[in-house]
Amino acid sequence: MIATLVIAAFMILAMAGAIYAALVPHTLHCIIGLGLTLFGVAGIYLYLGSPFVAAMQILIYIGGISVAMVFALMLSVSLAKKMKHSEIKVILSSIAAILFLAVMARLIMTTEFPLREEPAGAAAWGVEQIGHGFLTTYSPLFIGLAICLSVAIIAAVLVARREADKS
Amino acid sequence: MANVLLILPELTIFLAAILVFKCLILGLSVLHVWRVAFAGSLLGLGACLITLGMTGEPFHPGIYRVDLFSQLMKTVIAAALVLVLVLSDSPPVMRRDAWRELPFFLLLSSAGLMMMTSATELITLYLALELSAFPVYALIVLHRDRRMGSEGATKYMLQGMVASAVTLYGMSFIFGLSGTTYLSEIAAALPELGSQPLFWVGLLLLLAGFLFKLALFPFHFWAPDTYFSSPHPVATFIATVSKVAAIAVLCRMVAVAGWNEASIDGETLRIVLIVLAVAAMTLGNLAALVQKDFKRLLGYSAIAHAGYIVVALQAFSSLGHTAIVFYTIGYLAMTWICFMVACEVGRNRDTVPVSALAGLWQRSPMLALCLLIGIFGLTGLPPTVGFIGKWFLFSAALEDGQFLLVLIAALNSAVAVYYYMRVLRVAYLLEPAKEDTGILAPSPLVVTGAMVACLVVLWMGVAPNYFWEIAAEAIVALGATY
Amino acid sequence: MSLSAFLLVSLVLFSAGLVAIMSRRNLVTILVGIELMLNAASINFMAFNYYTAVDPVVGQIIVLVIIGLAAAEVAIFLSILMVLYRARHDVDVEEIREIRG
Repeated sequence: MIATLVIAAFMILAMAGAIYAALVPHTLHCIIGLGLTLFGVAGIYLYLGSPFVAAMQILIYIGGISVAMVFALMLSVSLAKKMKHSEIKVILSSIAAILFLAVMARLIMTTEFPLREEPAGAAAWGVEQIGHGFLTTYSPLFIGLAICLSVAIIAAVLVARREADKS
Repeated sequence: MANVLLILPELTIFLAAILVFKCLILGLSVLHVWRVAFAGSLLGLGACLITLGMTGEPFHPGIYRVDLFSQLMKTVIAAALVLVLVLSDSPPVMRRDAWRELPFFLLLSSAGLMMMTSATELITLYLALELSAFPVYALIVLHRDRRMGSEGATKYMLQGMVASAVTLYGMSFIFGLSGTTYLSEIAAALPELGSQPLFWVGLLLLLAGFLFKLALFPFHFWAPDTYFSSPHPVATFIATVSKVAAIAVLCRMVAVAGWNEASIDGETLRIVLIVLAVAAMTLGNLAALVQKDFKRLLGYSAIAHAGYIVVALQAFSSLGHTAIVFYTIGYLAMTWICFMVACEVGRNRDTVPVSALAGLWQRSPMLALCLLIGIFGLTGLPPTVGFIGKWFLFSAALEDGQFLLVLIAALNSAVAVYYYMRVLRVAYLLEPAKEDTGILAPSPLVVTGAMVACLVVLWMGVAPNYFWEIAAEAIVALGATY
Repeated sequence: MSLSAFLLVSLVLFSAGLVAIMSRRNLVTILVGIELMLNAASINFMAFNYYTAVDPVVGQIIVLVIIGLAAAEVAIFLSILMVLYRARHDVDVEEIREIRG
């Protein structure tokens, strides 16, 4: 019972944060909305039995990505100003998104998913299993991810550096 | 050991990238870095040719498949990479301090693209898609005009990220319905999955990221802008090398979903593809009519060509797939020729307006002749591969009974003649503008590359048998998997 | 909690991301929209992993990969944003119309 209430609270937090981020006219508030959503999503992961992924979500997403976004915001001062907020565009895109939502929701509700007899227990998927999976079956993913991250860092450094010769 | 041999092409290209990075750290000169990269890409091409006949799965079964189809596509990618590197020797349109990094990023992106052609597991596919995209995002920013570079990169990256997020969302539904991310298992479960509308919605969302790379409607917005605002060699890379991988993945996905007899609902996918193809062809060709910039014009022409390719893709047949593989090889050569001309003419310009081609005949007969062959190919005139390739594409759709679609495609090709011929008219009939009357002298390497590309375009157009047979064999190898 | 509840939550996140992207207010909000969409996909993967997947390790590995790639993407995007800002002193989408033809 309590578990249900808690997960419901996390879900509402995630949805409310997302909707707030989508509609609010201030960039910083938008990032805060994203932060709330990310936190709610971490709670959902916890309920779905993977504390490790939840921890990563908080560490990398909230601790890394959101903070980097706020930094970028601070570095470019004009961003902190209120942005040009066109009501019409927001309304039009909301209508489009709600249409998409309605169609997909109907599809999801009418589809019968091949449910497992019993949801996977927490014992089946500890950190050990994840590590084992990464190093055996999914080794290309592990290698690829490592390459991707190093490429991203090199690229980001090279791009953002100031030009050596302005001539 | 056998496994290492199977991934030799990717490994060679990737090791070359690491070596180039080492050279960057050591502070070698631009020329040396470029030479190392060029040698690496040639080795990569050799590795592709060595592995051309091999079949196998170097990692856990079902994740990564090496067969004739993937190796042929990798060979094409490696060959195109060599050609792009020929143009990437210290291009003045890039920031001076970025010259040394250009080959490094090109190699890395190519390694990602090669992974894409072999990946048979959804997440590996997604990862390869991202790996191939990241270096390109960074390269566009390194334009010498910072404003243009950063704007072009922002647009390209935003649209790319949205497309890949949509891809991921689609993948999640396929994962949910089938309980697996392996394409082979999904193909096996297709008879049950095919009756679920959500599966097809998921598949369509999944295709978004790859349609984006191919610049098909409605993911085409980036193409003209990005071609226009990227440094010329980078635009060449985007227009040639990354297209091949996207086409390879689309072929694979359609082979999984469409060839199976049991998939009755494959019709939905087909109708969507037809609509997208018609929209892409019409929009690309009509918008190209009014373009004044050569690279932007090529961008719209790329959208139209994406449409032609999907005309054959929607046939869901091995004939259609063979036609696509055949056409891709030719398309690559034709596009590279046009971009090579743009690179040479626009050597010291940020943009290449069509008017800059004026008097090309007098400034460099060789370039003018190349442009003639390339443009003839894109228009679809004999004796180039453009004609015979389009013939194959359209006949695959005709065999499937899509008369109306082929009629629309043919009408579109006719419209396209106008703007292609306008380019040739400027190049051959107009006098050069006062400020650029100088003789253009491409380097010997560029001349060699151009000769090879022209030869391929003409050879495939006159005697298509050899290439057609290789393409057919590759598609047989692809079909045998699913 | 049933599977469809999680799927609907993720759908709301995805749609909110669509709104943030389509209303095109400025580049950072578009990035926020993309992150929302990625999170929507992640929730789907985790929920399916819990309720339907054959091997319940797969979904977690996928989500970890997604988180890693998202971090990489954001790093590159923000660095491009810095260059853009230095060149233009503005990060408004509306202003980026110069190269439109």
